Amino acid sequence: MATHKGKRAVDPKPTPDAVGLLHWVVSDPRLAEVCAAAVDPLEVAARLETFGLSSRVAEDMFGYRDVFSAAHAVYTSVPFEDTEPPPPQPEPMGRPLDLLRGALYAIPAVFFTVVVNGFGVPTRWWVLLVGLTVAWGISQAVAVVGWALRGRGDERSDSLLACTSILVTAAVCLGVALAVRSTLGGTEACVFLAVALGAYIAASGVLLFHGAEWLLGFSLVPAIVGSILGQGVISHRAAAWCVVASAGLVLVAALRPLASRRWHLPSLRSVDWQRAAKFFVYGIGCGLLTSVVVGFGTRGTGTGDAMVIAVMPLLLTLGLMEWHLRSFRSRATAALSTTSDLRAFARRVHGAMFRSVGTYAAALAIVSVVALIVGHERHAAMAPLLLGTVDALGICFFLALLLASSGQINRVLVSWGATFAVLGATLAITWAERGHVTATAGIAALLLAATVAIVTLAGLSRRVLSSPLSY
Amino acid sequence: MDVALLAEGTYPFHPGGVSVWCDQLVRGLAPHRFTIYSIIGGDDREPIWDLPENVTDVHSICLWDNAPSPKRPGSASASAEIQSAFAQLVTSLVEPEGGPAFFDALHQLFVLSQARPLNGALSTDASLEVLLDVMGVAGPADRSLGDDHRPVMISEARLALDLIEHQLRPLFVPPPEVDLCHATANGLSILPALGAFWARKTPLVLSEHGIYLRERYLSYDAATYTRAVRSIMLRFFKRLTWVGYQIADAIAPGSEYNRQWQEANGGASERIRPIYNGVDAANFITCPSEPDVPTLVWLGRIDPLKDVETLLLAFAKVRRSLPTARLRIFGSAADYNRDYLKLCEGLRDSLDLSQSATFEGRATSVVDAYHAGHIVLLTSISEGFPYTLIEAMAAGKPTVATDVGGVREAAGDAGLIVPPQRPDQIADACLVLLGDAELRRSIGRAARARILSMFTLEQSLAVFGDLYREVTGRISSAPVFERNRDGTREQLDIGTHLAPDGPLYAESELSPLVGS
Repeated sequence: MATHKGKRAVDPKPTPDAVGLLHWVVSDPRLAEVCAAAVDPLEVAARLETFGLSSRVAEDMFGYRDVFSAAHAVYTSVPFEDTEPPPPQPEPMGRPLDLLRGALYAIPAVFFTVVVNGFGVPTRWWVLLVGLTVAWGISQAVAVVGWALRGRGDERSDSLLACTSILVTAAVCLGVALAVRSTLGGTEACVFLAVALGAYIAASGVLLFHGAEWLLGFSLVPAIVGSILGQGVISHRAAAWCVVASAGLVLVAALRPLASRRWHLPSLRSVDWQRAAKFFVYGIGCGLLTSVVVGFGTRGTGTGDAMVIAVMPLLLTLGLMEWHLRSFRSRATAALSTTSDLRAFARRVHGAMFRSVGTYAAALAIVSVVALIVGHERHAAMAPLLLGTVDALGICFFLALLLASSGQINRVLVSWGATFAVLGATLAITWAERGHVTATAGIAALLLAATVAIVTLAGLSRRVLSSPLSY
Repeated sequence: MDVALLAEGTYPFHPGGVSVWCDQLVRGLAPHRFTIYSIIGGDDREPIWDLPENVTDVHSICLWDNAPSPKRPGSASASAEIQSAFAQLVTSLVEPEGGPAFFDALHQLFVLSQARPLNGALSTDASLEVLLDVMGVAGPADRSLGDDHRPVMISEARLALDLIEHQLRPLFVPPPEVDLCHATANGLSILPALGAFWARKTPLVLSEHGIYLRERYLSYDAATYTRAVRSIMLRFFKRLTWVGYQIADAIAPGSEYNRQWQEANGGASERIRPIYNGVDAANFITCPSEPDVPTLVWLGRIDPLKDVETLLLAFAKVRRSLPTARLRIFGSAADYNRDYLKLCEGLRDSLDLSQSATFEGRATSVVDAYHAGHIVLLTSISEGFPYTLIEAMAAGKPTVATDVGGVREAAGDAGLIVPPQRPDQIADACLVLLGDAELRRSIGRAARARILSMFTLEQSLAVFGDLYREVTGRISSAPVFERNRDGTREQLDIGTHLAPDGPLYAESELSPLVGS
């Protein structure tokens, strides 16, 4: 063929076969689906290539200049069709098992008096303080490290972590108890009791971390049976031995990962140590506040039994606390994936928070009333103030837990600082005025400090937890 | 010469083709001193490669480490500046010509990060609010969403914010003080190079094995991410890789085929020069003997881009014709691909191949691994210039490979090439080779000859050595440049831009590049 100027005409480029191309695309449902969901022509080009449509093939088969022009044709011809992945699941709601976990953690407080009475240990007020505070702090730190390692897929460090947790707790309790005894007095039995208490709490913490509630419950059966029978069927001493047997079982159960001989030294980063240190201080704060109430409460009521009754509402509702923490987080994370407006999200979170804290506070009040009735004969003068303080501590702990579980441990520590500052100042003023601090004044000071903590934590929670970045 | 080698997810912490290439490069260009900037996920790790003496330092940049807590920006005005820069960054993603604004926002963030740590500082409610607004309008490019699409949820904006904030972290490291930056990939690897570019006009060589953006399109799939998250993240990567092509003094794709992707995303063709990977043929001896039973070998990272599923489906078909056939899979899965490995193992078991197809982990000797089979397979859906292929060819093995990236350029007529994701065709090619010993031998001979003549390590290293000299020489003769719209460079006034005693990062230091 010649042109009118006498030159040979260049064969025109073939018209792209758009129909053929689209037919080829839809012939493979997988390709059709990804092309329909594409958000950019280049994405279609990438997909076409993975199904064999290179630039060469695009030209040879369909007359397109390259894969990009073919992709553009597909992109503009195929209607957009959204393919949604499964929606993210909100965190699970609280379960009745959470109640059990709390009860398993708290019930041994009852056994403490069984042991003291059964063996006739001349206990001192600082025994509970040392065992509880040290174990609470170390358990928190170990749990944080444990979860960090699990987050990195390291479960091989469990043996070492369990063993270390229990041994370190026992060792620290021993050191602190010896130091306290030399200052405040007490017997060797007191030191032994503090160490045993700390080791037990650490061991039960290990079991709960591993999700071995059933094992912990099973281990506590002798203590539960012994404590019940100790009310008249068997001697107090026999009941105390049942508790000792349970404590031994818990220790053995907690150390059972050692049998696997899977020793592995965890690789910890500086950030892990920092977080562990913060949670250690957080746990120490919780333990100290509880110990303060126990210390003054024991002095006020005069008997360990009465004090246990007073602390029971807090201990028995630890599980409820965990339940409502989970439920709150579940509602908040559900709001994240169903809300498109930040203010609406904040409103929903505030509602969920009010619901959780309110429910917990109501339950705590009910249990407290029951405790008040049960303990009425023994410590009527003290109970309302004591129980009020314990309830305030419970709410305070719950708010702290809400913040800590949302990565706001620094704010919790600041609140703890304010709380102890108020407590210390109040006690110091009382001491300066009267030359001593009565149990009632001590409890009242704690109530004031706990109220300050509640106000601080509630304000922070309301502000911080309404941010989607807290989840 | 001091060179910063910038890598993501590879050398010296992970195995794989790019890591092999990095190792060859730093050893082969030994007179030069290398500082490695390695972007990794979150794990503190020890290098798994023995580092040669000319590697002077290794900086690992963790994207997902647990930063202690968001750093406070210092003052309200600093906070406002950070928020403003971030808002500009994400807003530019939905602007039709947003490339320069994106580039400028990166610059602002870089300057701010040199005064205070920015890790975590972008994670604020204000950032989230901006992102929510932007994602609300960031649908598919030039494509109607229809009327019934749902609004963007906070969880989606939260995820996108998390991803962007962490992906930007390499921008905030102190800029490398070197004569040359060499990025082993586009995308995140160019972020430290950007810092060096703004601080000292350090030139950049950008190698790309696979195409970074193409692989993002494949990994950000609709089965995993919602439309809103995919839209914003893919726009982010498209802009970022565009920036990489703009600032690179030389762009070196691993194959001619991949050049078109770089050009399609703004790479100037005159700066693109494909450089093929090379093999040290002395390390890949031939072996005349073959296993007793028909055996296929696959070697590589266990990764969705390598399409191990198609490999298994193809092998299942081979087994139907050759019941004694075996498949030996050499390679390991990175932590983030553990689930994919499980998926592949599950598929193997469901195909009743658990006795005949074996996952053997990382090969202790790749040469022995290649010689463990009659044929070496490559079933990838995206590639640069795959080592598995050229090494197997160097070892004299016949290959069956999918037609992606630079595979056709590598194999030429010395290997069988099949379309990707077509198990039947892959199986047919394998059966042809398994049934014809003479064909295997002749293809193996041709393959080795092709490698020896075209793709040796010496050739590859020589080209890079020349490129280093060329790029730094060009820069040293005219120390400070600004690139114009047409790609030419003009000299700037050194006094106003790099005054030794003045502010290091003048706002006017670099005009935004034009045209995205």
